[in-house]
Amino acid sequence: MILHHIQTSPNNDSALKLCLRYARKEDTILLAGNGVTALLQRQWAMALSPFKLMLLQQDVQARGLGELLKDFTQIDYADFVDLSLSHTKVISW
Amino acid sequence: MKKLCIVFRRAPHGTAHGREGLDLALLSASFEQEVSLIFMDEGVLNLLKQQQPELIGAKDYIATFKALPLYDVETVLVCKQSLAELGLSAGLLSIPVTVFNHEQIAGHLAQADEVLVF
Repeated sequence: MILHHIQTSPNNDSALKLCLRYARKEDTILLAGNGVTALLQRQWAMALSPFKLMLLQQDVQARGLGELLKDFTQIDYADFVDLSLSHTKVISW
Repeated sequence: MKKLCIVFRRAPHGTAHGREGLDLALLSASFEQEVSLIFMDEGVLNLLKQQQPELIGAKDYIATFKALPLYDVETVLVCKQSLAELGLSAGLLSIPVTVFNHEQIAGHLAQADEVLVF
């Protein structure tokens, strides 16, 4: 079970596209930094729906996206640490 | 001894990622780690023949990919989909590679101890 860590927006980096190509159903995907903006676009929200998806709360709040992205699970840094321990490894794309 | 998998996903020369990834690969291999490489997306362009990075003042680390066997790095994988997207084939590449589809690569990523992306 891999934790995939995405920190860039799919609009200007292929990290999310590549992660989705190789991620397995049981993997978790964490969007942080500008990666959270991916969910504003339907195509990425749909592509991410089969996976356990988490957003880093501070990055969502910092960008004023709390309301727009309220339907997605948001976690804080402490949860991020727990996640990285409960997975076999983290891949920071 | 760790299974370290290094992923190259960015085109060479535009950034230092390619050179740093290769440096890490060779260093880790020389410290007896089991190193494997995966080239995907524009990272595949690292392996094109006849590159002349000196023309743009870029460091020629490309030739060093040929040294991988000397460091016992035998697993060099290339993403089949990326080759197709870029209109390339394994025959155009400077070193022998194994072409994997996305499931095979996902399997390789799963069995590695650590994966670092450049």
